[in-house]
Amino acid sequence: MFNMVRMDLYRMFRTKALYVIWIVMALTMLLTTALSLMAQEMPEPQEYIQQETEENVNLGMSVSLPTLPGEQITVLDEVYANTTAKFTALFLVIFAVLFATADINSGYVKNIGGQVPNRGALFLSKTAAMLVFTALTMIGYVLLQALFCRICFGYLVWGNISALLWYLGIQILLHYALTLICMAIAVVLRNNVFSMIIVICLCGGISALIYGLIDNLMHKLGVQDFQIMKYTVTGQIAMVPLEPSSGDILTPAVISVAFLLAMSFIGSTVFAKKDC
Amino acid sequence: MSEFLLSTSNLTKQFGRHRAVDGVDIHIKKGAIYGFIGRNGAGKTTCLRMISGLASPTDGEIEMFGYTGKDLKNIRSRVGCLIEAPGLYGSMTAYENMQIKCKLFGIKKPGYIEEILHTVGLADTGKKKTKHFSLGMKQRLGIGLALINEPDLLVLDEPINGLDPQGIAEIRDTLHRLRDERNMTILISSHILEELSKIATDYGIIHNGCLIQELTRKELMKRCSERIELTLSCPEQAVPVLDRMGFVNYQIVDKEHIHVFERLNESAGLNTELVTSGISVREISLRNEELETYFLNLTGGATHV
Repeated sequence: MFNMVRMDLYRMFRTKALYVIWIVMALTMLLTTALSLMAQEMPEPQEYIQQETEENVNLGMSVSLPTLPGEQITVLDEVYANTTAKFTALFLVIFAVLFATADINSGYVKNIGGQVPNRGALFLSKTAAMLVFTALTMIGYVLLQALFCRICFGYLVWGNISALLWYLGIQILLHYALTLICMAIAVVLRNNVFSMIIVICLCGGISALIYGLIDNLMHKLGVQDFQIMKYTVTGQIAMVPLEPSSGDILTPAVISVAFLLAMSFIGSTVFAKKDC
Repeated sequence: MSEFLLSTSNLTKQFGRHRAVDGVDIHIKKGAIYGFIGRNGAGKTTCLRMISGLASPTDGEIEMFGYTGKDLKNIRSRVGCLIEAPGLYGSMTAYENMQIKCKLFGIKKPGYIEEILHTVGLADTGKKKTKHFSLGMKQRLGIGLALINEPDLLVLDEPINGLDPQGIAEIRDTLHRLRDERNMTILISSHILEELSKIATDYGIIHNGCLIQELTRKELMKRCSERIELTLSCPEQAVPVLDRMGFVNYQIVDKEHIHVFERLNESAGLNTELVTSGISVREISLRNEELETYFLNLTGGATHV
């Protein structure tokens, strides 16, 4: 298994798409940071603070800063705004689909698929490589965000460091669970186009429509106050509060782990059972 | 333990209602180069995919290195394969493609990859991405990838497809070298019998998913060589006559035919002797089959090609 992980890490760091995604993500971050400066400098003060609640959750892609009028924009504010909007998630899931199917699409899996005792382990090694990618991307994203804040605003305020670390930690876990969902979808469908559409819809506003339909259905069945997004990874990504307490972290952590286990099982089973 | 390095028993693969492979029994001895012949769509690739562990049989059993069933997973790493087109990462070099598989097997030996690239004639490709390789170079790299971890059995599916004569000759030389130097057993499929006949020591002919014949190189050459073909109602009666005349190299093929492979210019004398002995000869002729014709006759004739 250790050798498989080494193999997938080697492959991952030699994949051009990895660097393309990181570069595009960095450029987009620079753009959103510059835009947030423009928004802050607008003469009208913000009338309300965009604070996510269970009733008002950003399930689309719009980026709204939680910074109060007159306050300095912190790195935590920027990270929170972009993460809640699933800005980082979008880049992660695109790479997850490309990485999960690269060996199938290129046919390379035929060189190795028959020579390993359990082909399902090849999927699990990809999930390990994906953990490294998710963690690197999220940590790099925070550091770059700090750099861009310094460049665009002329100052660097981190905000509550402890809250930032907690927030980053739980978001890494949630984003990792999301990439595994996307990898499992890609492995099951074995079609990059369909997989890509589904995962982009998961990060975009389409998932909100589906969640709404399910909620309505459940309400009609007599289950009141049901909100499916409370039990989904994308819903939890948007719902983690700006300064999470240990209680706020428990639910997303449990949901992440549940999805991690389920997707690892589905992905590895399908990979093992399907012919190469 | 079986005398065969690889044998299959009733190997079957069904896709929906279509039986791509139907009860195939293959027998391959250690050190053999087994030519697996069949037309396009005959079931060669599906068979090889099952043997390589890339597909699961619907029915039947594979025995390799004395292992069967779930125990096969213990020896899967001893089988290297190139199935259909070589699976390569186009944006990587030959070295990097090889390195990925070396990582899988934990191979860190210095010069290991270079040695294999040299064996398959790709030592000088440097930083050239594999997407810029010719088909022949890709095929050779595919074989190189199959050689990683020193497999005892090499499974190659149509490795000479699309290659020019020089490329075919190079692959042929490489395979001979591997068999001679590394004592490797090679299972190679093709629909070009003429090419296989230059390298294979044993043959299996598959048609419509069924293995219709297994024979050694010697047997194949014998069946295709020039001969006197006698058509008789009872071939056994002709045996004493042939023996009396001193013929030793002959074969009763079926209930009506005897093939005589020597003294081809004595067909008239042989006919006279048989008639004199009271054996009615319905037909006597000189025959010489091309390998391709032999294959076509077995698999339903040229009209089906």
